[in-house]
Amino acid sequence: MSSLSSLQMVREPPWRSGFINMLRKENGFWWGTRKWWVQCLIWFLLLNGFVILLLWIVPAVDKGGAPSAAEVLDVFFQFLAVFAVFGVMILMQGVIVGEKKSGTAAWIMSNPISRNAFILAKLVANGFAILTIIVVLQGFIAYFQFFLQGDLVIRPTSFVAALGLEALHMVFYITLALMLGTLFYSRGPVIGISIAVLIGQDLIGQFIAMKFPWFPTLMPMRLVDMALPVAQGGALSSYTPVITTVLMSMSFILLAIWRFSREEF
Amino acid sequence: METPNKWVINTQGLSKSYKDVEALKSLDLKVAKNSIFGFLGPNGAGKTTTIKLLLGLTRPTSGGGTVFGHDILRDNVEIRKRIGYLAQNPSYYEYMTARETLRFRARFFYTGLKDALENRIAETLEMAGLTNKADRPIKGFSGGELQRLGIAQAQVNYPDLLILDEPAANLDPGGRRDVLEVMERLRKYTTIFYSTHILDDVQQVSDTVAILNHGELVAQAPMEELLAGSDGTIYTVVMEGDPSGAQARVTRREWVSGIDTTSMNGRITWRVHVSDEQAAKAELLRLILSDEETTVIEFGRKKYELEEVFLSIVEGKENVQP
Repeated sequence: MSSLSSLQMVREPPWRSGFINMLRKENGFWWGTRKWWVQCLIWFLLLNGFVILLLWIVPAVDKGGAPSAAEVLDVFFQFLAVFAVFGVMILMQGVIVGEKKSGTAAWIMSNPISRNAFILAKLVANGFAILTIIVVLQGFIAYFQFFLQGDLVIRPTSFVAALGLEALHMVFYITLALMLGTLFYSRGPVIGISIAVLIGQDLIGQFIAMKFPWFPTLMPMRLVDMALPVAQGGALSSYTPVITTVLMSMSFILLAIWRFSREEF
Repeated sequence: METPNKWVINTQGLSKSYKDVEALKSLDLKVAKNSIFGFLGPNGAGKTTTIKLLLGLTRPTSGGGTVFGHDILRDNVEIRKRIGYLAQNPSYYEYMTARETLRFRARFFYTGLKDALENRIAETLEMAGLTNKADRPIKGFSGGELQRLGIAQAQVNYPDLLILDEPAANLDPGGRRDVLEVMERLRKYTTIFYSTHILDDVQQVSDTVAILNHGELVAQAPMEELLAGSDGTIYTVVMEGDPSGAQARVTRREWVSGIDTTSMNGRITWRVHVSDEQAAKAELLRLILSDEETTVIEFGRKKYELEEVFLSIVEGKENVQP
């Protein structure tokens, strides 16, 4: 019992007790291991690899058949939306389910940590890492390529605003996967339902739009459609998808917190 | 909020059902401060369920309880600030080392001075015999090493209550002895509540025992009281020869309430039930020895082994409450 007197007790309000330690651990898993640079490399190849191919390699080989810089920018935003959503599903599928199945969640919850803190630390650390690596870093590299190529003049603020729409689109899937992780005990439904939402909102959205034409404007996918015009300096055509996506993401977080508070270990 | 009485754990009617299965039925449990409390019961008796309810890992169906005076349902974060817990099948992050695991857990409790924290971690690793393996990922740890890590992480925060679910499982005899020594050493600092199937260990270190069977508390008593049994005082006599004369003399005494006789390999064993222990102590052996046809091989008051008490209770032969 030698060192007890020189240790200071952690003081946090009960509702977020253990949050800082849990957040530090989650951040350590991303940034203290090789995971961060492996992910950086994967997303560089997937997203900026195509930009390199279309912006530099194809024009060098076949100048007549090369897409315009604006078309390449559109491809970048579409890939960022679709590939990255699959990436989010893969990265987020085990964040809660994995811990529940392995028993580590039970061990953690035997410590002075609140259930809110557990969920919020998972969300903040994983959300920050995913958005930083996939959206911010890849966006920065892509912008630098367009800047060097010079065919398309993109204002930095417009590009950041467009990336913001892409980031919000991704937040929707991050929070969806988090919530599904609290509801299910295997990874299948977490990935399956997320993919169904990604594909379904286009297919079912078109179907519903025949009766309710305004319906597609509520969907997060609209954010991706708006990203290209915004990056090219246009104004945001509608705030509706921004508001509905924020509201749906917040609902997912609240539902995840509620469900996890009832979890039995 | 400090507990106003001596009970560290105090449950009233604590019950838990899973669908149609009653895992725990109206448990009234009291665990005194600084005791080593053995929590026994066959598989599926409800021991782990009870522990999870105390920690707030699961919610009671009805009833409730307090730990250190804090409600187990509402204030379980406060409760866990003062507890060290070793689960029956604990899972840790395999990519972390033993030192990182202890550091992660210690930081739920302590902040500030890094050196003090690292000293505490080193001290705990040494106590658990893991100093040489402290910086290896725990993915490669053996079952025994994981159990040592479990015990280390449970006490890195100087808990006021140590809850151990089968702490000696997966350990060789040396490891078991070490665990018992750790428990003995911690007795003056902390209360230890532990479940186990190894009854020898319980008898060795526990001062109070509770036995759970089919979700019901069937016995809770100090170890001495439990081992004394509830059959009254019994003396055991092993003899050779013809004991009929001695038996006639002994059964005439009014403090003798009965004699059970068994015979094996020419030896006769009596279990003499007595109502007056002092009289029996003074006269019984003398009465038997006064018979020249009988030679006494062994004589003594019957001592129960915990295993005997445990089996008789879980088989429903007796029901002991303090």
